[in-house]
Amino acid sequence: MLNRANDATATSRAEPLVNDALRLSVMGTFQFWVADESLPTLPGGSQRLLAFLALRQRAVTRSAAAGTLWPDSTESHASSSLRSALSRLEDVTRHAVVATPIDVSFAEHVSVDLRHARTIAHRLIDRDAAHLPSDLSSDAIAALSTDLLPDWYDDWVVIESEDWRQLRLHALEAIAARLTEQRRSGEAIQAALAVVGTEPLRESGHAALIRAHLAEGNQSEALTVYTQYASTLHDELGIQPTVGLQSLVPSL
Amino acid sequence: MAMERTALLIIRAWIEEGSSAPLRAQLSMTSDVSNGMERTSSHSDVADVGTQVEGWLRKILADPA
Repeated sequence: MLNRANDATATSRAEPLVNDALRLSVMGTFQFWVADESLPTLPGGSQRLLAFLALRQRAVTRSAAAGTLWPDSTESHASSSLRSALSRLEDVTRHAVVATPIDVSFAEHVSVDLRHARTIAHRLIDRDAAHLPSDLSSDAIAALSTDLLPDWYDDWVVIESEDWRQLRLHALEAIAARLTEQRRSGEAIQAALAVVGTEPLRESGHAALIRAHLAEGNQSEALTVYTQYASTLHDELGIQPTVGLQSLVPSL
Repeated sequence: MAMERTALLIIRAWIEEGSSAPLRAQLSMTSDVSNGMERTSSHSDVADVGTQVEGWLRKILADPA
């Protein structure tokens, strides 16, 4: 843990671990990486503290952090739990936290997979933003297909998780559209399938998938997607796809 | 001391423009998060969503931790 206010020595001791040596993964499962090695399972309290701070973009007051992480505790007990969690961080993970008497934050030199994926997603959604070739790669599609800490149900995780889910669905549809424009149909289909798999009732995902199949000249595949979606919609909700989706499939 | 149980219900709702029934509401629910999500359901009718929420609450009441 780096102590900004009181301990310059701690900061200097952390330097060998700078330069992306430390990484935190919160997409899929929680993992803390040192170089290319994943640390063995950390205690639950350490995981929650690290994940909470990693999901925040700025320093959080100690009282806010304690109140969010231990919402059912009294203020004094929550503060005590936070102090305890900070003290229990192990040697390496201490370097990921910056603590002052006022606030706590995630150390800037520790990379977080979600932050990287969010940056890609925002570039893809912004039609005016220049994107990188890697934004349309299989790795990007895989990252955007991954949920944030799916088995965690703390309020602060659920809200962040839903926010990420919406962002990534829009970004995957943007990838599918751009790849379809570039006649990279196979990859476009991969991205659109990720949307449909995540949200089977989302019509825009099926539209992206149908467009990708049609760009490849596969009308029968497009029709199959439409038929399966119409069947799901009928079975689940008793309704039909929109006229807009129907109009995408020439043979209808 | 008995452990407290946390129940959770998430409603994802959006609008499908151009549909005859534009509401889409997908519910994921559990009466105990330690078991993960126990059930999901999809709806396009506001009253159906209300019925699901009521049923979930009644289940929690009927089966206290």
